[in-house]
Amino acid sequence: MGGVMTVHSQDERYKGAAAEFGRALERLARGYEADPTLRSDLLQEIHLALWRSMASFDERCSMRTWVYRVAHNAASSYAIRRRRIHAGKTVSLDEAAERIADGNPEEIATEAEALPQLTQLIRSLNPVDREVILLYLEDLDAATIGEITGISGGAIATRIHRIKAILAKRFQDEGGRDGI
Amino acid sequence: MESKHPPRDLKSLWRNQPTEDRPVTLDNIRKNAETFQAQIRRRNLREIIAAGAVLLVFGFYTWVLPGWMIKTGSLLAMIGTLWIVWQLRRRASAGALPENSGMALVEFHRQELVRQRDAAKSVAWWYIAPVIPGVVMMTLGRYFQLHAPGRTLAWDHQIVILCSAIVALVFAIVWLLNAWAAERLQRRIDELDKLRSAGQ
Repeated sequence: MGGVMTVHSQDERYKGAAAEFGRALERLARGYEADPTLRSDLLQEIHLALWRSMASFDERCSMRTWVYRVAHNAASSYAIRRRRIHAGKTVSLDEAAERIADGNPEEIATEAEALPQLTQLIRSLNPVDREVILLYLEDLDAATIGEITGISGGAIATRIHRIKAILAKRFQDEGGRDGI
Repeated sequence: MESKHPPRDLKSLWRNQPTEDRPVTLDNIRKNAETFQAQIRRRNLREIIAAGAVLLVFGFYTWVLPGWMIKTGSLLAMIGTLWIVWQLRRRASAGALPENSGMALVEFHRQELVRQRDAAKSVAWWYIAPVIPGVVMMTLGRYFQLHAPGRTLAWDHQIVILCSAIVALVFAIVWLLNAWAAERLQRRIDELDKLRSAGQ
């Protein structure tokens, strides 16, 4: 705990985290950026933030919590910069639910069709809701999502309830049937 | 409308989606870190060049334009420019990689919103006010000490008044837009505070 971390141990910690969470970070980048080239840049940026952060990782939280915090915060900074260039409106979970209720969504027959639509839904959400849905889809439990996001237990439960309702209605999802 | 298709497990679908498996090596990361530092250096250089150009123009005015009012106004404009550049540098974090990147996400968002709100709220004193003494003094100098050739004095004064009114209007609009932005940001900060403190 504490103390000055050597460059070597920073590198080692980064390598361990990248090996364990690399694919999750790639999925996270997909939730933020549609353009493949820009997504690649974002992923590089996330890895850079992660590597830099390892110099100050003090084990006060788990490595998983740390990695998701760093990655989402890096992606969120990226999204803020992009919005300054391409102002795009994001919506809350409630607004997304209303849109789905008001609209007449086409049948989503295959998983190949469901995945792009799910990704599009994620990207359309406002930052906090986007983070929660991404963590939910990574199969993290409510307590862990609360620890990563800093959102209180009650608010997390409400948000996850809304997410499940949206996913069930839009995609006939049964993944959250047993709760998290 | 009820779906005719079988239910699916979106968590599995999301987690098992094919990824591109782009290798990110430590060498790449170090190169990116260097590129990022170079970008910051270039941004700083651009700011210095822009400020230098402004200082050069007003320095030129101080040197060649007649009347102590315009000369003083130009000097004040130079001081105001330096103040704004210093404030921009102090406040600049847009484009920067997050320093407190291990913070809880809501806390991180809040910190960014607070920074933006404070910048918008205080725009009057760090972005508008520093320019005003120079502009006022130069306008007074233009009104009392420097007249455009080929115009009557009354006509020239009317033009100066019109230009001053336009400048004042621009300042007012900038201030108003920022005040509205600060209010919007405060509402978002309040929403985040609710999320942190209690269930919704």
